Amino acid sequence: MFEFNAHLDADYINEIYGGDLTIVQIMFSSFLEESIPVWNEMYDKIISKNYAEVGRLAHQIKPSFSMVGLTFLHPKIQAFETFAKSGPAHGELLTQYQQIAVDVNHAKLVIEEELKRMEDYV
Amino acid sequence: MKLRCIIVEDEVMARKSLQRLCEQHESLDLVSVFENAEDALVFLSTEKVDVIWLDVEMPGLSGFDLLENLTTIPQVVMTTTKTEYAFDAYQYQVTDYLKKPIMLPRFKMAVDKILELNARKTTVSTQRQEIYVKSEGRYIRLPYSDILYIENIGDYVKIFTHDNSYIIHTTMKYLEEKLGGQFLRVHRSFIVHLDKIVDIEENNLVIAKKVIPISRANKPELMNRLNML
Repeated sequence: MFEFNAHLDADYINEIYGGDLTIVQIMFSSFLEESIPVWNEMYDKIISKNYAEVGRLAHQIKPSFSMVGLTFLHPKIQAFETFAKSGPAHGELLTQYQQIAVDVNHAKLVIEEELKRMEDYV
Repeated sequence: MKLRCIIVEDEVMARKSLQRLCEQHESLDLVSVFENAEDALVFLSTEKVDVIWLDVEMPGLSGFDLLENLTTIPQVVMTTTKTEYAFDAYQYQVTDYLKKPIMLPRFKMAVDKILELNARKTTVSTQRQEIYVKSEGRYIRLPYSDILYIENIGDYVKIFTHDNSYIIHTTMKYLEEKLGGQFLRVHRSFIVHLDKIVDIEENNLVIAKKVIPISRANKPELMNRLNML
């Protein structure tokens, strides 16, 4: 059985996809192609002070973190979404984004690496 | 027989995950996938499905809006990240309500529910030998024995009995499957009740003085099904 990087919630991944590695690969690819660009786009929206859009985008990509086993990031994105929608001070929202971005950037590298390992495994 | 289903889901990862689950299940035939309810409505205006996997919250029309716009509601499994829609969902008598992300065991449970309901419905409709058609706001019971023939008129079909006719929004294909062995499609535009045929001459048959064409492709099947001497 494929062993996921300890950074990912393997139990959760296996529970959702029942050990079907093909769908896990599809999900990981989608996360990189769909969710990461949206995460990056949020930075521009913060800079342009379009906080409602930041909140909307955070809501949009929030489930995708859990779907690739990044369950620890879900509450952080949830809190960020709530904060963005509350009419925050500009500097505070940007700081919060940059803090989470450290986790997201690392998670992106992990997902890319896992995707390669799965391709070799399958 | 596999159940025809569609997915209506705006969120790409949820859509792909559900698509894979449906494609992997031996009892489901995933016929189409939609990113919004508007496109699904257009599809459902001409196609019949057994199951809709339906997201609640979508830009534009919501999942509930889609159900409001359907004249016939198939089995529906609603999918959402929130539990607060559960009450509304059950108002529409949906088959199941799944919280996203959808877990494989929970998905299988939903399909089991769908299959069980479908089996019950099929048994009942086979035993009952009747259909109900909506006419002027009421549902009229039509025993199979009263139906003479059915004519296709664009997006609608017209069901003829001795005393009346009823126009309903459905497809010939769906009715053909629903009505079963006493009926046969003899032409692109006609399904006939085999017991009501008075006579057949070349490429026409007569039912209650109505001359109905028989297509070349359908004639062998017709002749096979009749008790010819």
